[in-house]
Amino acid sequence: MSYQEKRTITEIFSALLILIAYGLYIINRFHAHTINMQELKPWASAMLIFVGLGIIATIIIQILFHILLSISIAVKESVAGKDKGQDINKAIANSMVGDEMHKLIELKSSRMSTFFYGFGFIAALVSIVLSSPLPVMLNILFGSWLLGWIFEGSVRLIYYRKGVRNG
Amino acid sequence: MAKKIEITNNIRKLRFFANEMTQQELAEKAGVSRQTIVAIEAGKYSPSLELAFLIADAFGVKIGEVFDYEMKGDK
Repeated sequence: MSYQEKRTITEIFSALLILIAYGLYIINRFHAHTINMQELKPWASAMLIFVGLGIIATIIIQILFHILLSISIAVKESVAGKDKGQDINKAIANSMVGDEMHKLIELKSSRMSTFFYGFGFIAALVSIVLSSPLPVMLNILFGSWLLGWIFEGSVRLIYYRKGVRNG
Repeated sequence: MAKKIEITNNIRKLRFFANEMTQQELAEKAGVSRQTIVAIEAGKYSPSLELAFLIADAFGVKIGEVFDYEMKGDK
């Protein structure tokens, strides 16, 4: 499995972690009656907290991933007999090269996630038309952002596995 | 009706004749990742013209010796 695929998996993992944590947080607050379907403010603040947590968690997970990956490459190179510092650094740098294929895959997968966000926006509007409580709309928007994140990663993985065509 | 072009390549053969050059070595010469070379070799990715020239240059041959194309039927 390549560096790009592993990185994508860690991104999907981050998004899943945030989705599960948000779900658990909301369930707990519902049980504690500190959140309801009439007030928007607690929902908006909860979502803002989780957006911030999502960004922080992604940064931490990516840092940990890069440290572990560098260690594993260094160990592999040492076992292969390339124990010179320069060789190991070169191997680490080579494994993390981003090029035109990766840019194309990122572009195509982000286009797919944009469709997902758009669909979420329309679904949120439909929920208002159907007279659903406003927190439902907020949750649809937040959910589509998180699911779009996961969807983008999944599409990227498929492109890495199946290949990607120009045009 | 647009015709579909299937791009084929001789990278595997050229690597063999280049002293069994590894995919990693070719990737380093062309300035891309090994994964991209693997995808091009397997026909899963069609490189840009710039990258195609860089790959040809890595083998010291003309681009036509590395890449070829086949016209597929009307789509």
